[in-house]
Amino acid sequence: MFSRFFGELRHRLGRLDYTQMLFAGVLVAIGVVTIYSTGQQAGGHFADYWQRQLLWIGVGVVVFFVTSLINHEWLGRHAWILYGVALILLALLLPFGRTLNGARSWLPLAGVTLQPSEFAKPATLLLLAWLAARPSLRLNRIHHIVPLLAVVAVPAVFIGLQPDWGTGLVFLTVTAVILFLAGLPWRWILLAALAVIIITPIAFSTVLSKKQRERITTFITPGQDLSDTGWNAHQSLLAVGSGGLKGKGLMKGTQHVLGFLPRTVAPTDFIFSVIGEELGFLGAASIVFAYIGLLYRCLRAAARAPDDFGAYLAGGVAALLFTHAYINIGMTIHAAPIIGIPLPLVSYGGSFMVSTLLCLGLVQSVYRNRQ
Amino acid sequence: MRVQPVHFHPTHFTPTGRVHLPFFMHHDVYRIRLLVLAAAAVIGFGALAWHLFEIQVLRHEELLDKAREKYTASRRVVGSRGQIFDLHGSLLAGNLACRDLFAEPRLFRQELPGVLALLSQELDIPQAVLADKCAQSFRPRRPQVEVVLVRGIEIKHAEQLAQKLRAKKYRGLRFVDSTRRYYPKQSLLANLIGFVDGEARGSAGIEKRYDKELQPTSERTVYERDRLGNTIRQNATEPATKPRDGGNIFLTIDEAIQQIVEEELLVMVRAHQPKAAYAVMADPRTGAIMAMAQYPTFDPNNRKQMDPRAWQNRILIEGFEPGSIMKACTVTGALDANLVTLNTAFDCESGMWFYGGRSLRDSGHKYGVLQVRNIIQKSSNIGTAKIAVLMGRERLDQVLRTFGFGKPTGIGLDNEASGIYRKLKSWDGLSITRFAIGQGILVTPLQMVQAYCALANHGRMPQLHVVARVEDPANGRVETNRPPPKGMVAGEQAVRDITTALQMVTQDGGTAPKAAVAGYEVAGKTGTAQKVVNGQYVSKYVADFIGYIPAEDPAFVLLVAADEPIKGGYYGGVVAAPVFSRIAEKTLRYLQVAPAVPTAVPVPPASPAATPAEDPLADPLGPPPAPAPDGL
Repeated sequence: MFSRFFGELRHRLGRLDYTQMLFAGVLVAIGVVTIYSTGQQAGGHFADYWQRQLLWIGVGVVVFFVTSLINHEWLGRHAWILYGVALILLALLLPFGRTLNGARSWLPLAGVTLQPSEFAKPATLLLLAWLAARPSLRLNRIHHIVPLLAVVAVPAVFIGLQPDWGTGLVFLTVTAVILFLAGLPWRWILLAALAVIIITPIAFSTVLSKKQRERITTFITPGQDLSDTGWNAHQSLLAVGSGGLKGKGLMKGTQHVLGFLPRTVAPTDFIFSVIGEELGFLGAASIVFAYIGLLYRCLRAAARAPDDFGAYLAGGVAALLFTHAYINIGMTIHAAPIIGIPLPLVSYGGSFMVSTLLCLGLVQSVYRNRQ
Repeated sequence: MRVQPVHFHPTHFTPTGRVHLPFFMHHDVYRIRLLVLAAAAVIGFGALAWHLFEIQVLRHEELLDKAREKYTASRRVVGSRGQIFDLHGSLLAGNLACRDLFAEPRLFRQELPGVLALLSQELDIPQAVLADKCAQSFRPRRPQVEVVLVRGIEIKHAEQLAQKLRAKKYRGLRFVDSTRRYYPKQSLLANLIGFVDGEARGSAGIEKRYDKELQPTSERTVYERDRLGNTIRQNATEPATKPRDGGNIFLTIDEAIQQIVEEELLVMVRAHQPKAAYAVMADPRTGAIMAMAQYPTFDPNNRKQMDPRAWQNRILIEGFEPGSIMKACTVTGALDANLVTLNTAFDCESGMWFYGGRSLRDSGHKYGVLQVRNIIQKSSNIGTAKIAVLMGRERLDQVLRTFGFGKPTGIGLDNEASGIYRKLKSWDGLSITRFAIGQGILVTPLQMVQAYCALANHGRMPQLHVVARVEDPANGRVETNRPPPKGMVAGEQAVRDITTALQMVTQDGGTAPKAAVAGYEVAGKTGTAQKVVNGQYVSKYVADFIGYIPAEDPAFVLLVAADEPIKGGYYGGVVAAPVFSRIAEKTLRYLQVAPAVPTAVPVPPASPAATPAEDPLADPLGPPPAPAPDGL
């Protein structure tokens, strides 16, 4: 019995995607080193951020392997349970949530503070991919699509109202990619694109808050206002630019130490600008290429998936990683508006680290069951 | 588990049952969609990578410069200004730690009115003044990023203010440690020391004259600063060469004596209420000024109440008609030329002598024949004028010029006046009799002190000076100022003779018994010069007394003068002589100069019961006669 179990375990482990793990490892390693670097320079409670990050990485790695070894199909069948738990956690934020940096997105649970929105991501992703792969689904029927969108909209709006519309936006792109892969008719895609073009200016002036509007105008017309909104973006650009080809060296960055790049965002949302400053173009480009590698492995898993669900799942994770990485890196180098979402596997933050590793585990599971 | 039912749907594809090939080599729609996504990802990240390359490699220099600009700033590191001490190292002008308020007005543009109102109220500075300074930051041409808003705020006050600014969350204002000039002795010696302007540059007095020596050097340093403008200590770069502190100036003034002189001068001012008053004390052997007091004066710490007229160093710039104190110089010249001796007699014409078509009086006294010594003692105008006539114009002119009148003493201070002393060729017929008795000639107090220093110093005129030494605080090197004497004004015998005559002034029958100091011989002379307004003598006077003590081996020369006393008399012997006596007595005690006449002192008030007859040391000629009325 035990020998059968270990035999199966060895068999499953042997089919995992170790190249994907290598890329992920590079990102995690650079992240920990950078968090260590900023923490030592900033001092105070920032100094032991790297140890806490290592702890969460440990938790994440366990979650990663457990997920990898479970068949994704089984997870898909139970996705609604995970989804339900995620919704409950999000709902618990309303009475018990803690507000940090302006968003009520932290839930104190058994001694640790978690971000339910991070766990809502894989849960929603699983359920969405599972539903999108249902044979009875007709993607050219509007009453088939609306329930799908509702599944995403509930957690996305919950999170958006925290307010964390950045994470909400990630749900949007993930959904779009899954629907796209699932074969959403081109005419619908064109229609959606048209709708976006029409709605955007209207939404800009009506739906978005003043702060959100400022962020976007800052992106479009940089340099006009360097006092508040544009501050982080501008300082971040200067930080990355001043790094040069080889960087200033670890723990020798000045922008974040001198407070030009606020210390609270240096290890989290703006960690990439620290990397750019301290490790230079070589370090920053390594990050970008590690993501390209990671995306390649995810799309490869999607291409070889044994079933539609697996393909959508891997594609959804790729979309998740891409959105996060692109927007985060883009905002630090003034190639995207400032949307406060972290850099996967690199930024400081336990919930997000575990959630991202869980997503990669899902991809591993799909890959392990490849044809 | 890889079994998936195949559904018929035009756009729905299943990846199952495919040959094992890289996904991009399959050509069905699903794979095309995956390829589209892959392409989007590659293009997206490719663009990011290119953008990174652009800003990190291609625009690196530009952005690095900008970043540096942000976090580095240059600053002048200034040493501290040299201090001013008295002869013995007592601090007269020092530096007080304080804070300067710097502002980066663009950071509080929105809150500008609030900031200005708060600062104006807290610092008692008109809002308009602050607004003007902030405006330098908003002007279109060469705007200044940071302006110095207020200098020299007391540290405690600055801390309170900083707290209030923090409470209001005002940004862009910072305090910088600094120093402020401080005069611990307030108005003491204020007119000589002067003061500094808002930029810590000397603008009057010693502060101005010795600004070069007092100025510290400054070095530019580039330092890194954080977002709030605070210097990052660990990264602070020290300037290559350290700035040097300014040199310390040690004056020849003795603070204790200065204190005595100022106190007594104030007593005189209260009693006689002159428009102005001054006193100068100098060491006749070296020419070192020991005290230099004047009224009115000011407190240099309190700029707001400064009256520009009070800033002037009158001793340096005031020309006054010296009156009779000039007679000593005239007579010394005559003695030196052997034209007269102390015993030569002149007919003083019973107080009225016509010369040059004008009458000359002895101020109501009707002196008959007086010897030269008595002419000095009683201050006879007619007698002195006759001696001058005997000397002749050329000799008198030469004597007065030798005594230094008509040109600055070269004490080493700015704007020293030279007085008004007419050239010989423009003398009129009366000049010889008027100049000889100190009329029609304007001298500065310093010139007069210089002349008497020569008499007190056996005829050798010392170079007056107020700075004893300059010390470099970095290495303790001291540069001592001992200017060489100027030359002889007369032979030693003539000087000895005039000293003898001057001693009689404070004795019985002299014009200034009130200048006498018990236990010491005073050689001195009163003066009461009538002022000329619009060519007419008016009833305004300058009352003065100048003398040296002890007469044979003088510790100092002291001039006391009151300009236009209006209460309690106007004669030098009444107004100035008692002040001379009190200052001299206290100073001699302070200097521990042994009395030369140990006894003749304990006079009536000390032992009212003792009669002169019972006192073996009393004047054998009997009780002293009543003092003669003051002469000129």
